[in-house]
Amino acid sequence: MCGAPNAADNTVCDRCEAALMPIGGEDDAPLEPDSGRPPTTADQDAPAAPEETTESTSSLSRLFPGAKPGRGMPALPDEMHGQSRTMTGETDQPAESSPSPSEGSAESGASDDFTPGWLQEAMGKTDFSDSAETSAELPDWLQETNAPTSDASSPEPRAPFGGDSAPELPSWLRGDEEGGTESPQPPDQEQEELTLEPAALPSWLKSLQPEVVAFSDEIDLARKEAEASSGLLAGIPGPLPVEPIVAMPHIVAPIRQAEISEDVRAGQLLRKLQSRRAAAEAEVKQEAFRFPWQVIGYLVLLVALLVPLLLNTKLFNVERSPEPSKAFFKAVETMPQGSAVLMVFDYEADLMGEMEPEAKAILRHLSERNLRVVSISTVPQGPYLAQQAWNQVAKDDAQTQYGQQFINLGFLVGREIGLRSLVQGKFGLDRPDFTNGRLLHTYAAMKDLRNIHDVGAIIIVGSTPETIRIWLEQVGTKSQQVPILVAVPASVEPAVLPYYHAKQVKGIVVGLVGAADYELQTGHAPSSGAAIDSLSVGALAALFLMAVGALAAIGSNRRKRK
Amino acid sequence: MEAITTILGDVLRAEGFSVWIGAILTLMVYSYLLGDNPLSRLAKHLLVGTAVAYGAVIAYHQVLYPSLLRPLQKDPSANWYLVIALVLGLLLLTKSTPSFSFLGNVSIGFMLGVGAGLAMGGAMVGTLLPQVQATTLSLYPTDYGPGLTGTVGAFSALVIVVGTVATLLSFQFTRRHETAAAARTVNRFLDGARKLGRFFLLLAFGALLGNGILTALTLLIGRLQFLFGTWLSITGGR
Repeated sequence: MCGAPNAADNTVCDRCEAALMPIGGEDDAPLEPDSGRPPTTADQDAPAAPEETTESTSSLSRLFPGAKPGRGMPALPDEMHGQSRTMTGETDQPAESSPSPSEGSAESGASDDFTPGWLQEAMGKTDFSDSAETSAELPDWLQETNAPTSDASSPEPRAPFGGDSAPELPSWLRGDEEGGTESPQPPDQEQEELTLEPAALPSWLKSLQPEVVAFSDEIDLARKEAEASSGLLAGIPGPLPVEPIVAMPHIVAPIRQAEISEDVRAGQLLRKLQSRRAAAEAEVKQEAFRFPWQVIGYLVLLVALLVPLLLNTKLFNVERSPEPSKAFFKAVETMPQGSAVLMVFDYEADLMGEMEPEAKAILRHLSERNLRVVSISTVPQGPYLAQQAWNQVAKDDAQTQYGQQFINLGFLVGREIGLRSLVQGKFGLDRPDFTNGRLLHTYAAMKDLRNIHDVGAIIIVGSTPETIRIWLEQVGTKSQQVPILVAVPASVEPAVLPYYHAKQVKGIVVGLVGAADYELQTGHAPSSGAAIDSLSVGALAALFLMAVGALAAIGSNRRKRK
Repeated sequence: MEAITTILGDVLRAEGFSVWIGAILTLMVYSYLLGDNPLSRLAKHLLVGTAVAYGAVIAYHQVLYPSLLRPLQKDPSANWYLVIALVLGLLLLTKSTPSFSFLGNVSIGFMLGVGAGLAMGGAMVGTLLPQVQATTLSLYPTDYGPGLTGTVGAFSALVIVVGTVATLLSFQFTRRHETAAAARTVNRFLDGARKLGRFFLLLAFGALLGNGILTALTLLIGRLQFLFGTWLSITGGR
């Protein structure tokens, strides 16, 4: 460690008493205590410190007696000792007779006695330091290490990482240099730097330049060419090519993707749509498979409704009148003759089959009672349906005339707003009626009728709960002395009954059965007798279908559970 | 030309022609039972078109002309306030143009404001308060009559009161924290009332469904009477 030269057979330094390690036996030598770590590749590549250089030089001088040991000569890496000797041997000796580097390294580590004969002979003939030819054959790194050797007289220590780092030395370290002069750059080296030009490859060499291949191709190529050179897998091709892949330069190459033309994409889309269409058609066919059951249901219901109509049966009689219907009849019966009734036709053509029998039964009773009927409607179709119902009633009674017992005011716009204006305002006798377009005050039916409070009752023939509610809320609260009677379809009855129990409605006629009942109360035979039978049989058929459907659903659920 | 018009008018006014048109349209609508088809769609389009056209004619002849245009034409100075209604109505037409539709907001706001005010007031006075008052019933049988009549009346009143309260409680979706025994008792009572209320709701829905079926059957019977009676003269018809 002190750098002092020692004899070749010394095991301990004469100066510092440090343990000496024979050259070539570094593998067995213990680690230096100050380093504390095994030497790395960087340590081996980096030029050695001056004292190490001296020690290495002394070792090299034992190998090459003819060589001049220099101060700046760097220590050779361990493997380079063998390689240098191998190269030396190749210079003059045939390759077959040269020992392996490992053998040479192992043998030369102990002393000169172990130097093989071929090497001793070669060393006796060759002077490495002075031979220019041999120097030319050395690799660059070795020539570089030899350069300080030729300039061994220079007192300056070489910078560990090249000459450029010398000016960066601290001042205390450059103190001995301040008095000296800078060593001028050799003229030859300066000339070389001036004449350096960028390398230009000739055309024939460029033609031999391999083409850039994709990264994946290089990996495949490396895998093919990879062959283990050491270890148990030595000579076996195809081991994991870790090093070629890792050390592979990153070549930015576009990733090749499968080019799909628009036609191919369109074809794929068409096939996908066709497959979906086929699936949809299969679902439709599956739905159509249920179709006969629905048709059977339709047919059962149609037969149940048609048979009573075709045979004109009298299976069911309406004998029991519900209390609301009785109250309705009683309210009309108690009205004085000649008084007016405001009749509201708030239904449309879709419910005409159920509402028209009620309207006709009530109109007939009002006509028989010689009561004036003033019709009005808050739906656009109402005035026409009112006129149609009146025309059918007037056919049976030739004495009734339009304008005398009946007048059609027409359409009242605005729902709540219109009803409130009807309550607070007047009928507007200067308005035309719906049927003839004549002014209202010209009709006898409008005599002494200025507003809604002059009528004896309000009869609402409405098809929806909202219609009844609006009339009760907007008109019923403002004209409490005027009784309100209601005729509704069967589906609206549950929504209207609370108003009857609250005494906001004085009477209710419900549906086709209610119309037949009302006709019976007025002393007429029900005009819808066959329809009553048809309705009853149809209701029973509906109950039968619901029971069958429920049983089928129960059976289906049990089958699914099993 | 006059002859053609007369013949056409007689045909259109003839009852047989309208019956045939009605029968054909009825069959076209019922063809939907066999699946959606052009005939059923044509019948629907005809219904919508005629309804809109009829509504437009009614609106002009029953509303615009007698209530707005005629008074303005007859005596503008006395009916000057109708100009406000005319302007508000014209502003409604701007709703069809997106760039000027904001002008119609005034008319929409006017109608909504008046309509909502009337509807709220009417609902309070016409429905809510009378219904609450009608639910406040006496449970003494003597108030409903002697003997069995009074007992039945009292039981009916009890059912109405209990059903109304239980149905209202079934829409109570909150519970008290059961930190005390009293809270647990209240929660058990509320749970039972909710179940009872749902039972009453199911009864009401069943009544609505049954009455709805009756209405549908009645409408179908009316059409069958028209087809087999009025059109084909097989039955008596209506």
